[in-house]
Amino acid sequence: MTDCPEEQQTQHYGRKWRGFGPVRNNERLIFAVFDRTPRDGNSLIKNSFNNSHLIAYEESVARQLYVTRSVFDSKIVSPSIPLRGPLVGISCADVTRLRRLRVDIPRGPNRFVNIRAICVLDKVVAGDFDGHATLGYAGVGALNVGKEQLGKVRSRIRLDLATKVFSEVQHPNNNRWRHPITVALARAHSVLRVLWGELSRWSRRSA
Amino acid sequence: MIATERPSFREPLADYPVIEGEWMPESSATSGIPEGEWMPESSATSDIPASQSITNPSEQTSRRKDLIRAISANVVAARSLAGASERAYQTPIMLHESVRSLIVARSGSSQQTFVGSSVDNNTRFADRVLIVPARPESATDQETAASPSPIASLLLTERSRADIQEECIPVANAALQDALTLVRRTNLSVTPRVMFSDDGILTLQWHRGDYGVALLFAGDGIASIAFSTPRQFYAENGIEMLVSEDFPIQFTAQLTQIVS
Repeated sequence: MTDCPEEQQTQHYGRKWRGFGPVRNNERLIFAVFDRTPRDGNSLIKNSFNNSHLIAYEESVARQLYVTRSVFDSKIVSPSIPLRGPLVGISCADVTRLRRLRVDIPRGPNRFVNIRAICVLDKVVAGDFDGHATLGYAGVGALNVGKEQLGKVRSRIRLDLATKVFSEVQHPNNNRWRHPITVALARAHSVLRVLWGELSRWSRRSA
Repeated sequence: MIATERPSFREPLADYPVIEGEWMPESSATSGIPEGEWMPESSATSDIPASQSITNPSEQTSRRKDLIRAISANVVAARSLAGASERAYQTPIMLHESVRSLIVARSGSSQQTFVGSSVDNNTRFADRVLIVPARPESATDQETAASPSPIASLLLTERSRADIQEECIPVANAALQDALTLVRRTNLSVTPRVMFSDDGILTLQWHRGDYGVALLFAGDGIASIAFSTPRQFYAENGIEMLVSEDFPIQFTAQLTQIVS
């Protein structure tokens, strides 16, 4: 309940034969910061992350390993400019740190449950780019907690996202963008990995 | 009720920061200061030589008064600056070197308000504490509510700007009232970062480097305090206090750590 079972299998709309597979711990995520993104100078703040989006597992980020600068500009920046203003910079976070983030849920006087705070999914819907990923609250809402307490818990999580997990806002040029060939190779590797898994399963069934 | 007796869901701050300086005893801090000595901004004199040894009691009293006047004037100036600012997210006030932090704690016995203040290193006396005239005991809550407060203004401004879901507007309004009550009653004067979530939760955050403290209001009459240190996350610790209570010492100490 409190872990993220969705992280174990791909959330790509094209299922396992598309995309790059579930987000792995050694990956790094990119959060685009626009002019209208709430922030304090170069630092993200709690409201930089949209509460409703996190509830719905729809806080968008890009997977650094699988995004080229041109995809970032054409698929993330350009469509967002009319609504969110020009791009200010990017903020990065390690998936490991995101998945280590935990939260205390109060369960009565002097009692609490400590659970995972954030899930990282490779959620891609039609129209998204394959290197897209999303963040969401990990099972926080599933626990029987009052509305006020739930709101406070979620606010604390976003405080940690802003101050402990994501880096300061930096210029996109400072990021090590992947070359299109590297991304193509990663895509081929993903297909081979799925193919190998299918063959292994087929051989086990045949034996 | 002391902080440790409050209903909390985790013992806060296992690696609690050591705060330099101590609160000055009330008896030694109040001597020789007539009530109503709160100086207007125009009478500010911050260039008081403090490194000299003072032996004459009357001279000591006089110098003490001068120092307190100077610091008081800086406090007033800091408050007026915060009130004039229209920025949505402000950093803690650090106007003058001699006023590094303004943390208010209320003395239960005399209803006087202590303002912690780090002054110049050469200062021989009253180097951590400034006494300001407290609200008279006869003052009503309405009078308190009517008094101007930069943080209160900031809270109201943020509330008017905030984009909140329609069904959560009552939560946001109740949270605002709780925060106003607490801020006005405790004379909290270090300007926080004020944030309303779309679910109506109000957060007041003070953060610098790896250290931070946040007050969270959900309109239920309870303020949740969360701490951030190099080894602690906001989401994994906390104290809860009623908005009618005074701040626990952990809060004021952490705030001192952040703004000093």
